[in-house]
Amino acid sequence: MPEALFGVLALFPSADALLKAIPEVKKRGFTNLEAYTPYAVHGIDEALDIPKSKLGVLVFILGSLGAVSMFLFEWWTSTVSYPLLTAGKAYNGWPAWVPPMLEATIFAGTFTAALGMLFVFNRLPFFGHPVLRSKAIDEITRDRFALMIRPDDGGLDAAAAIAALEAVGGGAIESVPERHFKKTGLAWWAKTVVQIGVACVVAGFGTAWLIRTFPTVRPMVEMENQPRLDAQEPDTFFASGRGMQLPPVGTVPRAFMPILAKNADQGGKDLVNPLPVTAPVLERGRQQFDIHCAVCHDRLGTGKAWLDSTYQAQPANLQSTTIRQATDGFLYWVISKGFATMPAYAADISPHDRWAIIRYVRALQRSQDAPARDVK
Amino acid sequence: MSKTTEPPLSPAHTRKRSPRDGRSVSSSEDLPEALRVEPLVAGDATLGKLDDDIRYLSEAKPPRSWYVSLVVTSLMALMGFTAIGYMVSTGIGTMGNDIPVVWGFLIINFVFWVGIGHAGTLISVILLLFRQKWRNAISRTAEAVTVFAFVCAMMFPAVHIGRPWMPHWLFPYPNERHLWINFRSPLIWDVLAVFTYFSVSVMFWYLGLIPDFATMRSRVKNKVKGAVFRILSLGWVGNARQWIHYEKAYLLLAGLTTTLALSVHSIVSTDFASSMVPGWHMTIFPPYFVVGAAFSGFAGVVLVFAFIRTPLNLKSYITERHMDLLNKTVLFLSCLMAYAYLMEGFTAWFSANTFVRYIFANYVFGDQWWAGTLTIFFNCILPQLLWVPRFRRSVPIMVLVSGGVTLGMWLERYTIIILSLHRDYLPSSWGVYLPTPIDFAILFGSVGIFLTLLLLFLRKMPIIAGWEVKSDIARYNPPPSQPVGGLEAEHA
Amino acid sequence: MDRHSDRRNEFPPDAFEPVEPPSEAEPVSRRRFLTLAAASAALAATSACESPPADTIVPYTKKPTDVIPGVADYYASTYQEGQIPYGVLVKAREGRPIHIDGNDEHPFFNGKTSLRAQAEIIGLYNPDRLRQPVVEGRLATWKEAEARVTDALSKAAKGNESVLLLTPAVVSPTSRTVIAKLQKALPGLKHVAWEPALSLTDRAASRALYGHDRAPRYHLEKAKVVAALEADFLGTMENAVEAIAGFTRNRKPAKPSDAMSRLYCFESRMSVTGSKADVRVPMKPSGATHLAFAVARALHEEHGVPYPEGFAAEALDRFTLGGVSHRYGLDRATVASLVRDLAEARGDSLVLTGPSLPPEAHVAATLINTMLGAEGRTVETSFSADAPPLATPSEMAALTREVASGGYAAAIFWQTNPLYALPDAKAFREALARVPLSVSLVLSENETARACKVVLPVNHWLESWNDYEASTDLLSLQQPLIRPLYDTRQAEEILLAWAGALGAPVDGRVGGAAAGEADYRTYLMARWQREVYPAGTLATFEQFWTSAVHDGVLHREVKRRRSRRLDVHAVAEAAGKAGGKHEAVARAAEKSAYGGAPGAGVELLLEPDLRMWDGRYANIGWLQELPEPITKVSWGNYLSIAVDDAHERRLSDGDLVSVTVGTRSVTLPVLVQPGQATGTAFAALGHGREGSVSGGRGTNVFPLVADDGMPPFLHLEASLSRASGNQPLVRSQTEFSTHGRDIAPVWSLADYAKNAKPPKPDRSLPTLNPNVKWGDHKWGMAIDLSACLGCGGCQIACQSENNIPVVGPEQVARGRIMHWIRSDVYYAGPTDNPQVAHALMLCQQCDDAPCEPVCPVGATVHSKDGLNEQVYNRCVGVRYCSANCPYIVRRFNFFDYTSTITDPLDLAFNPEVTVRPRGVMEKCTFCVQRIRNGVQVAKDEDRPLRDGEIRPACAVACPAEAIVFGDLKDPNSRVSQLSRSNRGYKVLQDLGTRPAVTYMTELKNPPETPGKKRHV
Repeated sequence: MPEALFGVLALFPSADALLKAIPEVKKRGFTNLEAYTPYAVHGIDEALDIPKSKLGVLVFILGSLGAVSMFLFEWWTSTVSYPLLTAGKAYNGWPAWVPPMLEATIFAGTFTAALGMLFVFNRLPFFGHPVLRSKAIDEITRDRFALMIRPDDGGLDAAAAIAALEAVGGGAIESVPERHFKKTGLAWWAKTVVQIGVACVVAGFGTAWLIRTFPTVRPMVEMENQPRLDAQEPDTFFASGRGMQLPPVGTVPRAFMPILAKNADQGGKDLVNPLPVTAPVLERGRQQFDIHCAVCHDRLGTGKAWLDSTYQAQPANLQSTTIRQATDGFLYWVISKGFATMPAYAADISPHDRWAIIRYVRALQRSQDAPARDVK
Repeated sequence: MSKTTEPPLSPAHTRKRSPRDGRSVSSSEDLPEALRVEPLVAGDATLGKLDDDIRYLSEAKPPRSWYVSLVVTSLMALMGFTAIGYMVSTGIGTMGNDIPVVWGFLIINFVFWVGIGHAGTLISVILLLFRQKWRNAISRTAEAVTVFAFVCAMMFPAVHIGRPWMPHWLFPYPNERHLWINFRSPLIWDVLAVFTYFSVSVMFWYLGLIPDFATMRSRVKNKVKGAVFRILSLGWVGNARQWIHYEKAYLLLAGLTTTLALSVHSIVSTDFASSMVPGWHMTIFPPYFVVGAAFSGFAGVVLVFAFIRTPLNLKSYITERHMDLLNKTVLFLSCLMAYAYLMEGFTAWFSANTFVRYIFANYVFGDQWWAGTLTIFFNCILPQLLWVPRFRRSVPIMVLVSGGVTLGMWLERYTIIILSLHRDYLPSSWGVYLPTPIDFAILFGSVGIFLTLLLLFLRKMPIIAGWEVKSDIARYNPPPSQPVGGLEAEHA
Repeated sequence: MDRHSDRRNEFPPDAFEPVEPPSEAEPVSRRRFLTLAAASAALAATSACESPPADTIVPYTKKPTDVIPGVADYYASTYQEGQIPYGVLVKAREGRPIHIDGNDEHPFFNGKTSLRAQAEIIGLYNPDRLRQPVVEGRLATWKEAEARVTDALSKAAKGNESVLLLTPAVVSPTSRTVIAKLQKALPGLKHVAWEPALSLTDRAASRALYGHDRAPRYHLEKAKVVAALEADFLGTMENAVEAIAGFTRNRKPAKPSDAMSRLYCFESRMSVTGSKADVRVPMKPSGATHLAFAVARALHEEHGVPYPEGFAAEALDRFTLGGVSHRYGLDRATVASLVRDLAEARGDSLVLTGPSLPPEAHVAATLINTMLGAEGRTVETSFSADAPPLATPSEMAALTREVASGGYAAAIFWQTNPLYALPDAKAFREALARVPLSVSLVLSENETARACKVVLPVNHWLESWNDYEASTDLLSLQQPLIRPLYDTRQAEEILLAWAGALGAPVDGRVGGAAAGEADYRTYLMARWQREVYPAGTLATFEQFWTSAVHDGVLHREVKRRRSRRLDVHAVAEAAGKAGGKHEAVARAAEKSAYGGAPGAGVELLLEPDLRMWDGRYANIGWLQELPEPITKVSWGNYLSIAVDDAHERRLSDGDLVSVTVGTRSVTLPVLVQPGQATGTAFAALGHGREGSVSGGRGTNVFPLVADDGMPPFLHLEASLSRASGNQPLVRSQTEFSTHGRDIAPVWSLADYAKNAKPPKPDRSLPTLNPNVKWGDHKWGMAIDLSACLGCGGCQIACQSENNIPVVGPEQVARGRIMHWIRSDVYYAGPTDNPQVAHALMLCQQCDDAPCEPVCPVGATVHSKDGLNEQVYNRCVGVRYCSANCPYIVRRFNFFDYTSTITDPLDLAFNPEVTVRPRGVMEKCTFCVQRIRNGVQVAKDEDRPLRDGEIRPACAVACPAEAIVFGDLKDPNSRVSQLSRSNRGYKVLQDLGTRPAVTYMTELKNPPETPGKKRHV
């Protein structure tokens, strides 16, 4: 079969020639006309009655969308997502947000205009346009003005068209064959989307793997590992390799008077419980007792905690008469320095808490053999 | 290529001329000399000849002088990059910055290049809106100047920050710190504005290039180049429908970009105006900066054309009248600048504010009086030469003036930024800015980058917006009725 | 499995009944804990998008009871400088000292201390410190070094040769016993104590007057009128800390009617004291003596103040007020008003004379104080210990000659540096060459050590035990903060070891590095138990000792000493001497009669430097970089000359001049100093030391010290000659005029009465977005500029607290000094005698901070409690904040100043503060770490925050108590009250920045006489 005809075109030396020719050709009953020119020829839209471009509407819509979305973004970031207090002002400082909105509007607008024109209205890029294959294309883009008769509903009588063009003085008449492309169907789109998806996943995992395998570049590193020496950090300067040093023997820091009593009895004489018997003190005592003591001495101080069955330890029974009669100072010394298998707790329990624990122990003892009047 | 069968031209067609054209041309011939409109196209330019000339520039082997200057400029650029590399790896301290003058050459250069970068937009956009036909011939190169100037400009904010390896922190992107940027900071407005302006300029530039790529794609000898142009032209066929949308888009872009061009330097100026530094805190700054930008921009364009017109024999497209008009604009803007300076001075005096008054006195009488004084001389006094018509067309004079203006505008930014910072509120912390070799290396490096790009552009790309100038040619010397088939000759 | 069953398995059933916790609390919380743990683990796993930073944790194997990792400990200790034992309180983290303040238990210092003492942290971690003994220039072991010395000493002991032991002032009773012990074992030992920074002219005077050297304690807090003759008692004089605290107590009136002391200052150079004077009279030092005698006479003649009985009035006849005023070009009225004020104040007055003045001047001052009855009130000696014997420069010169003449078997230099600090170091070097064995006990090599055969590294005082005698009734204890960093020993230990080796019986185990610090401690405790521990105390010695160590001071019940009776004949003799017999003064008298023609000689004044003291601090970067309070010169010294002299001689800042005195001359840059008396020049001692930090900075002017009699620090005939070249001065401030800006006002009391009103409220202009409400607190600060002297104590404290780097002279010259707090100086009035205003400047923590809205990345933001926070980690360094800060208090890391700091200097970093890298902006944060810490502690102990509980480092350190910090939300807090003060103002308030710092106008209290117009 003969290949379909895209259209018949003829060249004219000047815009005026073209503009004059158009109505002539129209008179001859050809409706579907197209013109190809090296520059935008004014008045050609009326001649070919091409509708006005709708680009402006699109630009307006997307432009204002840009403004609105920028405002929302600014509002969300500065008042919802991560509000930062600057200059003691309220978070919602909208006046300062106008300039970015302006920029957003223009950005959206311009790119809509440009890309919309190219991709939406002119359907570019499109390298398959039949005229691109025509002989005339080079003259068109140079200094010739082409008029083309396209087939209308009734198809196109090539001969008539050529005749008509000759009649109006068109030169280099040429019939441009149609070109056929197979439509990109749903299948193609689906395939493409899947491929892209797969590519993304692969790339994602690849990157993750890379980052985990190879040491990452850290511009911030200099603030991450500080030259200062933090608690429990190693330090190569000291022979021990430890950053933390033991204070020299015999030094006495403020608010840490050492217990000088040589033994518990001495301590019992020297030391007096400074804490009052109040609910907060007892509460603190209970908490500390349950944390540090109950595990062996049991929550009641009976010395029969679930531990002693596991390990062969015989924790003291704090309810026993010896302990009841022992002074607070005695207990304090024992807690601080340890006793028999019991380790010293001075390093772990602050003096205040030690005294609080003792107050609580007294409460426990009282609770276990409360005189009748207490119960009443 | 295509062998067209030559169509018989009707004698009527050849003889008759369009009444419009006939009138337009003949009338201007009948008029007395003084009133005659000087054509924007000189000599025997035709549509075809234009194409060939443009193509010739991008294809013919460039002269030695071009290579020499390219080597020189790229060496300058290299020096700049080396200096930046050293500075980035060592610290801001390698430059003159100190307390209190925390902003130095880098910011000056930034503002300076942004200013130059206003040439393209203002010429090709605003003049388009004003229907100034004379813009057509120069718009393409002017836009190139814009784009390249912004390439330089955008380099500076990135490297001037204390930790140049994280400029991305200035952009709002979702990050592991769950932290956004501070939209109250004029610096953020600045970043957004410059970013927008650059991308839009590039887009605008490319849009204008599409039809020219289409023109050149099949004619360039070099096949690779042809292929590249073919792709870049996106398959443009010059269909009337395409042209309708195209022109519409061009107009819309022009409208929007005008707003942008006016807003960008205004926003850059808010970096200063919205601070509380005496000498910066001025409501006049936004318009004043825009004028300044246009001023330096036009001066830059004048410089470029003054140099390329002859060697690239563009005389027939960029006529003396073009230069005359450009210089008139420069003169006009210079007067505006003078007004702005006066206004600033008045504001300072009228404010009755000790600090502001001191700063302004310091500009011209202070320890660095030369900065302020030279600024005024180059920007307000020297351009007055251009009142003389002869001077507006004499290359040496226009080079002198525009060169002076370019220098003067740099000095203006020096005055504003450094002289304002170095003596503000508390005299106890007054200091000086002592520029180091690095400062200058980076400054001249940026000039090198700009010139290198420009040279490449001049020899590799269509430097005149063919499709726009063609309409002028069609107007001033309409296509003679020579047979259409003159084409073979050219193709043979 | 249901909850009850698993509970039953887990706990003994009986555990629940009586003290049953809220039922199910246990398991539920356990489950919650587990889920949380799981969740956080999951989070960690997912959020680990980067390879996790490798980090090791090294805990204590056995945790000491008194150290909690991450929590600071405070130890009381003592630092001796010159004759002054400063009681200090040292902050330690994990057994490592990081910050030094005054000991709050110490009655003299009440929690304040010298800025030099604060900087000693760097002295401890100084990388230059010797790490093991050096013999003949090569590293050696203690064993051979000791052997080398003990051999020589025992030989000397046998041969009865003499051995020189040169020490600083020995203020420690126990150290004295150590030396005595060595003395016993080594009869030939010649112990010489020497303080190059002390002129001892005052001692000469007191010896003449009282026959003993009892250093008096000055009670400036009791003084209504103070006259300082060339006496920089607030700056370079010994124990300025106590003086500042006392003096400034009477300088902060809350209302115009309050009493305020009046300070007259007659001086040649512009000193810190002069800058605070109500009446400052520039005059040549030579005139001071005559003036003092004239004042004494005038008090007697015109105000009938009786002379001490037996004093022959005619001795002072020649010293008429008129004559002296005319001779020295003084304003008669000013001098008269001084006399009147002194007479009116009676006992509540104090006349001080500077160390540079000749003994006669001190005699005259003592005479005045005695006449007025100040003796015993403001000058108090009832508990002052006998001053430790010290060698004057001339005695040192004699010693040099003696050593040169031979006969010395060994010379031992204990922490002394004669080859630097002796006027004629060259001679001493030659003399030393003739001594077979020279031993140097030092921290780090110095000029002398390099010339010594054996160099023994000693402990830093922060590694040492000792006791000091602050006064007869007060002992001050020194305890170590850390075990010796290197293979060093305490000097006393070394001496004991020698004594032991020479066969002296020594109690306490001695010698052997292994035994380490135990030794001297044992010795010390032994002595205390013997001599200090009062018999029949209830407490055991252990308790007694422990509490003494804990407090750092020990009060003793001793009976007050008899008040001194001055020897009137000595006074008369001194007067006679001053009146013409004394060569120098006589010449001065004639010369100044026709007012020393310029071009001829100038009167040269020398004084120890406020930061370098006698040069021992040369390698402490903090002090080298600290700008001198008045001239703002850091890194090096200068020769300051009068403005008109500079014009005469066509000299300008930085020009090199060579100063010649007799045969010796030094060359140093000129500084043209407003307020410097015409025909005088001043240079500071202590600079120009060799060393890694100080290397090449400053000039050593010790060669100019006179070693041929009194006074050593004053020359009446020094000649200046222009030397070729120019050496720019490194200054942190270059502009000293306010340019008529109302930023540092100074009021006289009269002005105060006129415009006393509370600070005007911040204007609130109409705004589109209003200010937020503050949280629980609103931190603020009040600074009393009437008390602030700009001494720089706050700067050192801040540097130590906030890990502020030292940037070095080149950077300072480029204007990149990093101090977060600085003291600005402004001059007003005539250049020959300007009025000086000090303005302490730090981040004002503005409510409407201009720096905040301009930061693009939100790196500087406001906290709910009104702090202007700087988030270093967010900062990318656009420096916009700094450009927009009207106070220029922000500092930028133009280079990598910190991460290059080497071991062990990094141990001095405060672990509570981020160390800033390159490219980051930083500034004062009101010590936010202390604020958060304080709030947290209060919360833990669930009680409200106490006012004054939180204090920034600067406020703690300020000896003048000029800085008050607190919560502005609490209307009764001190800071709130002071912020409402009727002389309060805010700097640049009209900019609308709403600073959180309120300043109180500096006040001057000049007399209402014609003298006034001249000075205010």
